[in-house]
Amino acid sequence: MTGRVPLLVIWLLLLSFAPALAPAAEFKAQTSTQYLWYKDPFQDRNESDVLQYLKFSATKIDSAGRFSAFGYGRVSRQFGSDENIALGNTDDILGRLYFLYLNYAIPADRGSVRLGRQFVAVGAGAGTIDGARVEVRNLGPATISVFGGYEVRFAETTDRTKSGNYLTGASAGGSLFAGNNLELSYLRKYGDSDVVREMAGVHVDQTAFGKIKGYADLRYDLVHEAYSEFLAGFKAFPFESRMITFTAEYYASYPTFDADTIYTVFAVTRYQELVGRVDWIVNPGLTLYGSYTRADYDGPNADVGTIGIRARPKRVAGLGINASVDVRRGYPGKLTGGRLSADYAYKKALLAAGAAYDNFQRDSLTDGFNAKKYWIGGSYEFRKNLIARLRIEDAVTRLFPNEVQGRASVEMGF
Amino acid sequence: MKKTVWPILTLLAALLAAATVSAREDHRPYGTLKLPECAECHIGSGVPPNHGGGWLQDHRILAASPNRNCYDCHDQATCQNCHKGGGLGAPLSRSEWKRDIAPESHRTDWISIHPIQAQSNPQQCSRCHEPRFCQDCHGQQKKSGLTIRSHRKTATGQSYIASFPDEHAAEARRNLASCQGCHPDGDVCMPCHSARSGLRINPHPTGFKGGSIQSRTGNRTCRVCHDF
Repeated sequence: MTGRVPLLVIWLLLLSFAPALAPAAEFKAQTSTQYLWYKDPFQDRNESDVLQYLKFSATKIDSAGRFSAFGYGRVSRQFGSDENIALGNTDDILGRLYFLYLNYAIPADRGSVRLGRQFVAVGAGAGTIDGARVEVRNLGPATISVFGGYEVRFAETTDRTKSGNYLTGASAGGSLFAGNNLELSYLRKYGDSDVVREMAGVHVDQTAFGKIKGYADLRYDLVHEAYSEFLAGFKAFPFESRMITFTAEYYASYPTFDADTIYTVFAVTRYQELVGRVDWIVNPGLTLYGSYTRADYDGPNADVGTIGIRARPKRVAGLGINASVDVRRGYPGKLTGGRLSADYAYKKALLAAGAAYDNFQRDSLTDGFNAKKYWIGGSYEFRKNLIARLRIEDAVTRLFPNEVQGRASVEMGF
Repeated sequence: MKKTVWPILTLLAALLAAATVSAREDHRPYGTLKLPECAECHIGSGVPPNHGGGWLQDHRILAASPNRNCYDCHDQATCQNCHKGGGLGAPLSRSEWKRDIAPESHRTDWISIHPIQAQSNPQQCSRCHEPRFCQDCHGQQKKSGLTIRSHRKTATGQSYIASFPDEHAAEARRNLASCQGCHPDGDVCMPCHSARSGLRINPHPTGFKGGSIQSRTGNRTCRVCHDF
């Protein structure tokens, strides 16, 4: 068993039972026991895993209802595998703790203090930390957030959290006046105790006339002294009787690297794209969308288009249909693909199936390929909070004429 | 650059502190509504609807916004299930990648198609994956089995990179992360780009701010190619 796993499991169990010490606490949990089977492309053989998920929330731990705890994690075991830890192939028990934190709600809805493993996100960047985050809301118009701790780097096998890898950050933002948001943020990442990334973020958006929203978002890399990402755009929804939203965006990216890799000193090319998109909710049972992207790679370029539909026709209660078509031409390859899926709910049962097709030709390869995927699945609710699911998929890929995978699970809530 | 950025940031911070209050809408009572119902209310209130066709791209900005209200309807598992492969309550439409559940963005033959996506926006992959994630798989590939054009011999038997150095440079600049995927230490770059020996071709961008990297990493990165 991997070193960190016992500790994580113990923490999960301790926190799971903690509400028993506080009689007034409300405890909710969800578990999922899963059996997965699939083909391992690197070993050209079938593998199977058993996984156990647990997610819980314990609220109103104290009499004032200020303390609560939340957790989500899993343990898994693979059967009959060669030992290749890097690819996650091991018959050892592996754990992954997604989050496990204690939350304290500051009185008068002034924000919260969180302690433990958690996902943090500000405009300058995001990550998972083992640490603390303090968020104070309603300071006039402003929300201020500060966080810091060990950075958690998830890998195939387990977490790569180690001493010397830290993530800290802060943000201050809020509404200057109605329909406006502004945020300034900062993120600093350490690797082996050196600063490997330092970012500043600025976000501003403004809704005007009740019909249009403009926004701009910037990530500035303080280590490379370069604009890492910039996005500016607007959304317009001009019709009161028709739910149509038009989006136009400009995005530019200058991909910088962590400063502890040699790639951090190499020249890179700025990537830019222009996006136009339309989302139309025709009625509660029908949504249409489409987008066009013009991408520029400082020389070569590409045109990318997507159209899609989501339908829940009134005539057939319980039926849902999703379909989309994607077309890409230009650098770094062409792709024409489509997806179609449908689900049908009848009483406590749900049946679903889908197919996908992709014809692609990468510029760097000498030949193209037609990939296909078919899947079918179903679920049944035996009683409230007890659901069984089964899903089977077969795919035709460049590596295998039949790449079969499946998932059987039982989910419980209590 | 610092001379212009910091005064602007200070001014914006001061504006924030002096501004008036604008309430954030509590969405917890609306958690069970269908998306078209959400959109109807949004348009009526002069707020653009979201969770539409481009939500995969759109949500990044909204989820990091100070006035985000994602947690009114979702918990952190919603983020981790897509970004880190969590599988509790995974929809039937989702495939698997080994023990992780794959997000919708990963198409049919993802092993073969992913380079198109990775090259189309080099920062997209790193939103969920560490560089090491690429190396774990690419490190297993045998050089003899590569069908990538740039890594094959030319018709005359010469190395492609040596025969078309400009093309190699352009490709590397457009997607340097793909080089890192197979060559994490950059050792293959050194014979030509080290300052100590070989061809000593300068790989740095115009206006390179080496001092900034040097001061933060204590020369660790610079010493790979330079003597100090």
